Amino acid sequence: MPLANAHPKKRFFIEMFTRDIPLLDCVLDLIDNCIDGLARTGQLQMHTISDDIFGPGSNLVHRKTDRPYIRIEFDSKRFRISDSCGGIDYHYALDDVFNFGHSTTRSKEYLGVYGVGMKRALFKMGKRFMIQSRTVKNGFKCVLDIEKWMAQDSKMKDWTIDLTQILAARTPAQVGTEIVVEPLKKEVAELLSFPSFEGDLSKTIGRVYAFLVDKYARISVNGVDVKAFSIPVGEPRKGQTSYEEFEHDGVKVRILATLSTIDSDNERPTKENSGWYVACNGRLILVADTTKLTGWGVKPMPIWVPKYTSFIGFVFFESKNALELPWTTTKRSVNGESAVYRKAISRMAVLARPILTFCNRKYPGDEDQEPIEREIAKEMKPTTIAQLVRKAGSAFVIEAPNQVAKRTTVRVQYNAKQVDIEKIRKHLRNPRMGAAKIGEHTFDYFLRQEGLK
Amino acid sequence: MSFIGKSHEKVHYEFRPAKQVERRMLLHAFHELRDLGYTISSYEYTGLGSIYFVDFALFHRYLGLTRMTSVEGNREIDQRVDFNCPYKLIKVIHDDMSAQIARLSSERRHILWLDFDSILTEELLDAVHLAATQLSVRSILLVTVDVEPPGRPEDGLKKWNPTAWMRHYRREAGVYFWRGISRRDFARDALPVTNARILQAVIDQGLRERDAEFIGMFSFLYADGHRMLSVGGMIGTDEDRRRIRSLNQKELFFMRDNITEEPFSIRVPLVTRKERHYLDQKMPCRKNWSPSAFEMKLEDIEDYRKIYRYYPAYTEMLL
Repeated sequence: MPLANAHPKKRFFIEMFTRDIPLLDCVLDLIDNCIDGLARTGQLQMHTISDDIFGPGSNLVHRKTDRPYIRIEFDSKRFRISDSCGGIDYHYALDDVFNFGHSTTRSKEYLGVYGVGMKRALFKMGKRFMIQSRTVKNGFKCVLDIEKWMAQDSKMKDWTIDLTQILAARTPAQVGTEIVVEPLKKEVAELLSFPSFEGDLSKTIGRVYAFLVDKYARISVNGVDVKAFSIPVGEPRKGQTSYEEFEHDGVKVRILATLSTIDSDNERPTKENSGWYVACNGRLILVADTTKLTGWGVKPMPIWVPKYTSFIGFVFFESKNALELPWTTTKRSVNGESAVYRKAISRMAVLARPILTFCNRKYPGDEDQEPIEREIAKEMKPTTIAQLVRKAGSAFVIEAPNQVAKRTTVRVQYNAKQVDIEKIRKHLRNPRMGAAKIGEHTFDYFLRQEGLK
Repeated sequence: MSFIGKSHEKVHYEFRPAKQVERRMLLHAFHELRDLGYTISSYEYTGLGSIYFVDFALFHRYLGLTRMTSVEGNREIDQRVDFNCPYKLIKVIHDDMSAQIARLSSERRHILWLDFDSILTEELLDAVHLAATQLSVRSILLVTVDVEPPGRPEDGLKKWNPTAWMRHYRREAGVYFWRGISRRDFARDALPVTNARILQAVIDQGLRERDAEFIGMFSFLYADGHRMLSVGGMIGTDEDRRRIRSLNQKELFFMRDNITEEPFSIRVPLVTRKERHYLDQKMPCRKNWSPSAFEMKLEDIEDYRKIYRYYPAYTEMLL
């Protein structure tokens, strides 16, 4: 029987495969590789990260000075990422690291799930890259001119990369990996030169690795340490938040929902922080999501509207087999068709409901009502997830007095001629006086004149 | 927003004979379930007791339920509800029903009666959806809704017709519509079954990610004023389905295997106390029997034969 050709082509991986991922996500893929170094060397168990978040946990947290680092440095000419997270073993590099897709024998717990992230990132960013890594046992170096490598693509032997064995690390400080991409592709160089890119990258890293950064590793961007995003979880003064956990096909799922604390600058919760946070083995794949992806607008969840700004919820998926986790290959979104995710979505809707009802009650139809829920929402105490879960029940309950607090004020609205408003401003010698202030002033004037106040 | 209506202002709950027949029929069925091995007295009852708590009193007295929660979403009658609560064991929760559904323990079995007095709305359906997702296996879910056409006849036939009614249902429940649904499904007489089909679709959706099914048991249609539909069944397994289907169907003639079947119509004929005593002496009567002492239509006798065991007696009591 004649056999049709079904060979892979390098051009596909280098020119096509790189189109679907933004540069920012490529950098995150490279950070994943660094963090996987911690997992490979037994310093971090990815499937128990939520144990550390929800309680005392089992992973070792180093003193700040001993904490492994991940350094990202870039300008318009080159990109460099280096780490002290354990390095890559020479034999592992020979057998697995440069494959497209992982072998079946490799541990499936790492953040590098699909075996495409690092290669895709390097192909996306530059024309040439260098990788050098040292462990306590061995070391290797690899330099690849991508265009030259792509040009040789007639047989399977062309699908190899030259590695040079180098000396093992002599001191623990030498253990680690360094990747340099230089020269950069033109569009990448342009993006890296944007003044906003550095800030955006830091912010994204702080959010995506909110549960990892500054705990298991320090990450810096161009010499500035990345701050972990502080998630504004709130605890009611009297009551409990929603919490549930279950297991589905080897994936442990933890769901927590509560009200957020108020933003100290705005004195109210901010939209930017509201919604669902979804993490797979400790890496956040969705941050403050208010879209259909997390069920908003899909029955029985309502569409997210500003009155739900106080809502904040977390879903942690963890497994020793990261392929079972509901993430996409970019790890910045969920696979909505995954059975465990579908199950989680149905539970998220239930856990969110009492909180959404609480939010609804903050804004009743009768404007004269000053619902007690508004006061309670303002009084949410900032806390940590660990503290919150210790006091959580299966569903959110707030102990609140039953009476409907009546407002002591009523809003007075009427139209006034602009010329008259101007006359008053002139008369009071206050040209910037707002219409509302003028209303209050004249109202007060009447009360005083008539001896009513 | 709350879907809790103000039916306590519309009608005195204690004088709704058809509703009371329905409650007693449910009671009968629950007794039979108990005989099948379901430990009904340990179930938690959650309902909308309003200020009357009739269902609570009945289920506490005759089923021995001791874990009971009444949910009241109308803040204007918070104190009135607390004042009228007949037993200390009833916990009154001042919140929306859908929030309370999320709090139902997965460790316990429940009887949840979403005894709404309004027509289907999106909010009400969300509560049904959540109930199907949340209720533990072997719990019983009952849903009552008003199945009168939406809108007001005073608006005239241009605004009050099946097309307009379909528009209402599309707005509130369009995501649960099935292929081929048409204006005919919203004709006045078709509305009960259409409502039941929508409710079935919502329950199926709520159960989608669970290893459980909805085993239809009840579909009642009655009118003490407005036409009301009550559907219900058990969230259960194949085994539960087999057990429930083994119930004596002749005895429990009002039960339905599927909530989308033609509902059992509870019709309460108007008879005087004297006529009632006479009729009761002849019950159960054979088919086509008619009283010799006074005139009564055959269909009224047939209706009476079906409900006389459950028919409440009202007397004036001077307190």
